[in-house]
Amino acid sequence: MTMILRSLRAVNYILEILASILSSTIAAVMVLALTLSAITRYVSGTGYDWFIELPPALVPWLVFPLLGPLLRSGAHIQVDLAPNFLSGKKLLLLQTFVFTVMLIGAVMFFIAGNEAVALFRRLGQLMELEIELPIWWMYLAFPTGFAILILFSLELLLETLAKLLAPTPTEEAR
Amino acid sequence: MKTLAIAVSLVFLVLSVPIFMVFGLGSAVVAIWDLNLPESTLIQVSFGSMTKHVLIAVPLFIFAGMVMLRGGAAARLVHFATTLVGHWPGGLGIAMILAMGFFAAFCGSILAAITAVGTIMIPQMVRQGYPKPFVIVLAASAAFLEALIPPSNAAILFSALTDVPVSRTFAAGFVPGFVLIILLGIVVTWKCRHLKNPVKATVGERLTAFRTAIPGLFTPIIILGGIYAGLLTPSESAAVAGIWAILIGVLIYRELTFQGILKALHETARITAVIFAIIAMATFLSVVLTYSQAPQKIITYFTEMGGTPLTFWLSVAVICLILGTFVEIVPVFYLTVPIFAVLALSLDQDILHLYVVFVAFAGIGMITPPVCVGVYTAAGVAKESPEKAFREVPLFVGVGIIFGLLMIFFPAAATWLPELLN
Repeated sequence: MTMILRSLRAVNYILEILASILSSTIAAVMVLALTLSAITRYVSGTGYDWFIELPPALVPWLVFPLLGPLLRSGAHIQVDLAPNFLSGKKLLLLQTFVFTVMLIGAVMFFIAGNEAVALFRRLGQLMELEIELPIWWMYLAFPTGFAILILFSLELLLETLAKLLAPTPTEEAR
Repeated sequence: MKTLAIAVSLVFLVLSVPIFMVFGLGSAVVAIWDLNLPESTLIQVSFGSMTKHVLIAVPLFIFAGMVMLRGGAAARLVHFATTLVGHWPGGLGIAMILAMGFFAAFCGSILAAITAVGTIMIPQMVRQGYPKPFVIVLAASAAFLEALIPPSNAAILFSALTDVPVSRTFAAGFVPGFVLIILLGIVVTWKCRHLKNPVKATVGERLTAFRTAIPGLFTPIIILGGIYAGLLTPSESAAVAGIWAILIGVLIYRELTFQGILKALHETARITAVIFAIIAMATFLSVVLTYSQAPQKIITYFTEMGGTPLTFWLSVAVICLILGTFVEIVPVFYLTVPIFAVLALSLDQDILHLYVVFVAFAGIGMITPPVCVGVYTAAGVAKESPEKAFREVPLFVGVGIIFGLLMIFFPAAATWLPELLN
């Protein structure tokens, strides 16, 4: 298990950096595109569709790849009721449950997302931008994000299980 | 199947599964297995909701706030508010409310606002003799102004859900925001009347503080002026505000570094992803509600039960108060507003009135234990145990309920300004 966990950590470390770079770049592009949209419309009287329509099309690529890293840092919104009343092994059991649900959910949405992307690819729909982009490029963010979430959920699940199965100090002393 | 999905979702919710996954799993199971909807439809509708043009303003306002935080504007705004009202009875508390209301409005993150303003104000207030628990809950309550004072992200989310123009929702929050500032101000003045106040700032000091705060104070003028003059869309005004924040941070205050901008972008992306993940998955829920005709069934049930506008508003208040206690405001929006909006329209109630009443009651949850992220964050800033702060919570919950009831019985507070601007 240690070997798998170590490999997962290494892969997820790289994925986290890539997801952060991608999402920060998209945030910067959104700011610049909409500022330019306002400027060009003010200067020339007509705006460019690209500046207006590109930011919404990029949103899925900002959001979904970060699902995994946000899970690891505990940044997702959740009802923090149960963890307040639990500690030690009970808390670890709760975390095991949460990460298992996240893993199952991520696998389900990864499969569903893949099927949806395949469908949109077959349909050959294009985005309504000045330069036509296949619409499935946008939808691809969904399975990609959930694939990353699978890896992060798995890492967190294995980590929690390792802690859960590790001998307690009293057991070690014996 | 529906009952089972709701029961399992509730269990997941209580056991701290992230809310976006609870929304996604519960709704997807019902949609696919009970309503026989294809996954592609769910994903298509979900993408449609999260790529709405109006929602793009959310990350851009968050970015503007993050840059102002790192660029020194927040500190100057706090200083200006302190020189203005700091010498009044409870003056530092009022200064914190004003600074929080101003900064939280376009910061987009209530927690970032508490950290930004609280880091400067809380130690200063504690030194002046303000009780720490009181200061902590005050900071958390004042940060809630974020949801009302424009440009507010809560208003943008509400507009995205109800198709009301953002300019109208922004305008609806103005008067209620000021009412809440006055109510909180009264509480601070009464509670801290016996404390020694700081020396009154001289006219010169006030003018200097004002001069240094002008670039920051100019930001809402750019945002709201641009929107109401018809020059900018809400998203463009948010983007321009971000660029303006960079310019003042780099050229005027000279505190914003390239690293600071990168960190602001990184934080923006993270906060955006948290909010939009919920939006994406909550849309699954709205698909399920639409296909199962739940809103229509609820309207029929409500009418048959002899429901009146008053019972509707009181139901909104109670539901929002309970949900807000356990869940943050964004998920509560997506969970309830689609149904509340249909009910409000069927009872001939103004949708902007719903926005204000909803926010008033759901926002109380920011300070009510056990899920009170506002209090936890402010307690972290004050280096105090949150449990000690809880004894001050009832006072502010009382203020919140009075505010909410005022909003229920005086709908003009929400509708007057949007009508005027029309």
